[in-house]
Amino acid sequence: MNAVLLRQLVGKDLYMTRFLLVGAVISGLGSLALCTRGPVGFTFGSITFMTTLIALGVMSAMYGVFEERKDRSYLFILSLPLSGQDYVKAKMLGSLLTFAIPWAILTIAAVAMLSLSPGVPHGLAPMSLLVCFYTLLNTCVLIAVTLLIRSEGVVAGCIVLTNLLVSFFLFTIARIPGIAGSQTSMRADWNESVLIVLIVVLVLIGCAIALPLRVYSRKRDLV
Amino acid sequence: MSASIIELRDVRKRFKFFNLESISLELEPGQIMGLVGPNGAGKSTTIRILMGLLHADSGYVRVLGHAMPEAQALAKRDIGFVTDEMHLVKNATLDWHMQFVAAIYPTWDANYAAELLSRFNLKPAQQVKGLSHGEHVKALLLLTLARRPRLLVLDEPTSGLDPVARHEVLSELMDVLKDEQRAVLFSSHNTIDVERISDRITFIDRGRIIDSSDKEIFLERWRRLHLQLADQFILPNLPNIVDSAGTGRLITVTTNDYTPDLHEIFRRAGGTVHEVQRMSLEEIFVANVMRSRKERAQ
Amino acid sequence: MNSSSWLTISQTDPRPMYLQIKEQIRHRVAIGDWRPGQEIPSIRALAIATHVSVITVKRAYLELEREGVIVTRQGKGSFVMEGADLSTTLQEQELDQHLQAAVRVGRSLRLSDHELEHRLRAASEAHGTPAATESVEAEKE
Repeated sequence: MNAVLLRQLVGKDLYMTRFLLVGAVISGLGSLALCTRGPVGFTFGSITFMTTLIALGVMSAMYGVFEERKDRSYLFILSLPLSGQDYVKAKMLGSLLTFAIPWAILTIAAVAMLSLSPGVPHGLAPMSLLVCFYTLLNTCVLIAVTLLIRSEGVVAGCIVLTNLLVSFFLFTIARIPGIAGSQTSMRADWNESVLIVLIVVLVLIGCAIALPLRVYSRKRDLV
Repeated sequence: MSASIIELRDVRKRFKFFNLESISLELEPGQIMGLVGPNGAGKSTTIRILMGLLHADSGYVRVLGHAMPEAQALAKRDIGFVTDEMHLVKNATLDWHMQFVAAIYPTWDANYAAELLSRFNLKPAQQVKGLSHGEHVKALLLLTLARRPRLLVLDEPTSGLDPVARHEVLSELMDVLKDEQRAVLFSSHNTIDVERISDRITFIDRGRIIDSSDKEIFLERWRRLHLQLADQFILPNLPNIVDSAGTGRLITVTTNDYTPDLHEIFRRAGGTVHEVQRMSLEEIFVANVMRSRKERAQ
Repeated sequence: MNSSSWLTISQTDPRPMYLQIKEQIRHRVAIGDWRPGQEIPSIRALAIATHVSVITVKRAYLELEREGVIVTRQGKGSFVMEGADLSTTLQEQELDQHLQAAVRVGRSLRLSDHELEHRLRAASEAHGTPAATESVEAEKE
């Protein structure tokens, strides 16, 4: 696929989701601001922050592939000079950027807020970074599922499952000794455990991205 | 490399409830081919296979010299594909679409696009979701025609259009053929459109091509003969008699290979040809489908 | 010449499209609208202008060529055939066609030749000019 076509397709996805992008950044930054306003603000702020990231992930995956299939504009996209694998590449990149641009801003802001803001437990910074990367993994899995499976039921099931797994992930990392200890402390502890969890999440993200590309490299019906 | 624009040979594809069986067709430069069949006959499946969107279980598919679906990225540069199931991006304007397509295809002709805008009476600033069905089809055609693709593949382009919009669309299709290197394949169940503008016609029913030929040959060879019979008349068993119907001493015979000799053959058998009628493409289509179904039932 | 007004094809006309094209061209030549030696639209141009397939127009042109109405020179285009009094013969051919059609209808109505002649004369008288009436009488004698 030539660079012009890829740029047009990714540009299209970003253009179509521009309000989502801006909305997510505003909502996320607002949540973080709330977090600095005492313990009650912190609780509510962190809940709306997580909700923002999760909702953004679901919407990026849904808009990129699912909506396009549902409103039948994917036939228009497929009529362009691209192969099945090109389509997957463009969709992957488009949906991922829709998520990753606000996500990167919010992740940096969250870690910075937790590390620098007085009055919040700085020890939560490593954990928040891991949770943010976990939402990136969730989104990659959802994008892969929407590309590979056409059934609405399966996609809906996957959304529910990945959201449930957020709590499971939190619960699991909170029990890892290297991470658990620093939660309430005022000093962030960036240790090996944090790095290992981060690497595991990154490897899984790589798998979620590679799988659809690999499946579509073989002959496959596109409609 | 062959000179054919489209070449399908013995293409098969199995689905759970439908099979495409041994589809072969060929389209030459400068021609318009009408693919005619009832709903569910396999028109769209055939078109999607030749567009590379579906892969055939077996058979040979070449479009503009490219093997499909493998080389579809290359082939689709020169193909314009529109189906009535295709939608533009609903939250974007027509103008956005025009810029989107223009950036992708170096062959985009901005002057022709502007001309089509005014001819189709479309507003570039309008959002796609506000377009009527007819306007939406015309917008799709505009985006496709203004690229001047060598091959136009249109799946039911005129379905659901009002007579004026249909006329506009058919005019533009004919205009494509000013350039003798270009070709059009369009499917329809509207035989009036097909009859008027097609050079070649392929009839498809229940996953099979039942007949394919130059349109003039169809219109020339298919006739209905009204016969008046003598008392002891036995209808000669001729291979080119597709159907016979009637009661008493008047019967109507449909033939797919009319020659004046038939008069003599019937006379010797004891009948007189009272009248010979030409058939419209629709009548030929229906008779052809019925014949094919009867043959398959046997 | 406005290309869209060369000919019109009617969908209610029971004659096939190629015949309609043939007869309209013949008519244009007969009345001298298209003169001997004049270039006429190419097959493709006429097809595009009338929204009729190329193959249909090609068939009409081939038959007109065979009948000596037009001539197609490879790479140059199609022209009305050069020849004396073409318009008269064409009009005569047209008349013959109409008469043949009348005879066919007459046969199906089981009219005798005598009755047909009678009706033709009646029609001619109804149309009116004495000259025409005379010439029919003269032919009869």
